[in-house]
Amino acid sequence: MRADVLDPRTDPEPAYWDDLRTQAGLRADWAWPVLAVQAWGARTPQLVTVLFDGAEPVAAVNAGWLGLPAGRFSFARAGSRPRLGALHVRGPGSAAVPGWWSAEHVPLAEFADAYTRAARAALGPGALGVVWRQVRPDQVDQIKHRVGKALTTEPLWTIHTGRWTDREQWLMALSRSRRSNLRGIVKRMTADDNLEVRVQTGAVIDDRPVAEVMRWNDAKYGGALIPRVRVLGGYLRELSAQPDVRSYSYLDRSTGRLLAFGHVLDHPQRPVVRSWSQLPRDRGGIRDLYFHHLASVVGWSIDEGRLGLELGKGKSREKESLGAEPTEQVALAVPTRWW
Amino acid sequence: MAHCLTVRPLLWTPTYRRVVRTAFATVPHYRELWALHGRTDPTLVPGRTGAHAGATPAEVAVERLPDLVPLRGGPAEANPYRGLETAPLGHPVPLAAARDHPGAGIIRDDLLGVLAVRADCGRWHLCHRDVYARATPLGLAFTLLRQRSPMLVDIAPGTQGAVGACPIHGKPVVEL
Repeated sequence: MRADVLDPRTDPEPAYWDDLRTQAGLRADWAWPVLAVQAWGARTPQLVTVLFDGAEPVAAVNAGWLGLPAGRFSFARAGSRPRLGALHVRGPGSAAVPGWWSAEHVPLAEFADAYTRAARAALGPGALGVVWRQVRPDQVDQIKHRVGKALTTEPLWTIHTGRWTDREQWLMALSRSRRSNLRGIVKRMTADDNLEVRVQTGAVIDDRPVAEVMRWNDAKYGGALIPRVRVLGGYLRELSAQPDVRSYSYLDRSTGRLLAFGHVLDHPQRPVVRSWSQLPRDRGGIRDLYFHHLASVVGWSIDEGRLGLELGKGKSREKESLGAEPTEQVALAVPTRWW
Repeated sequence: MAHCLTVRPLLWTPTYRRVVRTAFATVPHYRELWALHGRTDPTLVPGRTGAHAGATPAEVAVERLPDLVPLRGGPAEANPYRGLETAPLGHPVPLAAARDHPGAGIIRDDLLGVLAVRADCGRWHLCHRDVYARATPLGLAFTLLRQRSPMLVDIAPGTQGAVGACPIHGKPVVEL
């Protein structure tokens, strides 16, 4: 298989990109301008690899190049990359969905092998291996080829909204306490005249208040050793501007202040609930906005006839109580083979 | 006489270029601006030269102070009195008013602090240990060479001018 190994920072959008995205069902975080800003704002070089069967693209992979030396407090160097390292295959900017797609007729083992070869050819002998994230247990054996180490990670959660025809049905499928709790939350928020919920598609947003709200979220989830760096303002603007992205803003009407913000990446079958950030309560935030947000997104997904809503990992108890089901996930480290 | 006409102190421009590279590698605002749009002198991404040679209008910088903090962290507040303690006594004016105030002795900006002082030759001498200046399409753009956070690089308060050398002292001056 022929391969294009691309750096979205400097490589122009390939002519086949739009068609490939449509065919593969890659969401707005794979739009080329979004990939470009994301890569500029990353601490490691981000590589997009496309594999071809003849002239036809049959697979796409997004990976970060984790190499040494790496800077905790600096963006990836432009123009050069570390010689020694491993590829980290993950969704661009998020690990809630797999970072690869391959056409149905391509056997997974063949795809994984072709990708590793392409990466080795592009990165040189310093490419020590590939770490695959969000692998399903049934895919493990085909990707790892007998060598490699598998590790079960946190499950991903999905609400299968295709099961219901209206919100009421969904609510009836939840536990009695969660149901009455959700009804109470929605009633309370609807009665709150000071709360404005704004849903926009392909929106021009001011990234500054969003960044301010996200700051609290980053502080909560960032590690001490590898602190989270917040995304570039340009990334938020570019992502929000995509026609298949829904931006949810919760605003205090009297002050105009942004209280919470979330993105949903649409998809014909399986939209992703991407980021959610809110001001802490001692900073003027409102309790339970997260539940209100999820209830409203679930309602939209049911109305639009989407099969499932991907919620990502974490907050398992809350997600389960909202009717989400887990899918087991494996992280797989496969060393480069030299034969 | 030739040595008196030295255009700039030996390490002035190399220091500025180092600050530019550090800002590009560690500060979100400059990363985004210079990566996606570009800049000049130095150009960081081949072919991208920017709308205003990479300068940022001062009012935009004020709105985006949190984006001027390096990834390592640091204060996001401007210090309008930066440099005042070491400046000679004089009447401070903003850059835009300096040309029309012959009696003024210090140019001070609310975001950047003290930029230049009037010397006995009557010219506006840049505080070149701390401040770099260059002419851009947005007017004079200033860089604080020693302030790590918020990092202020190529900030244009919006006044046209040129950077030259003082024929008497051989030090960098701004001509307004």
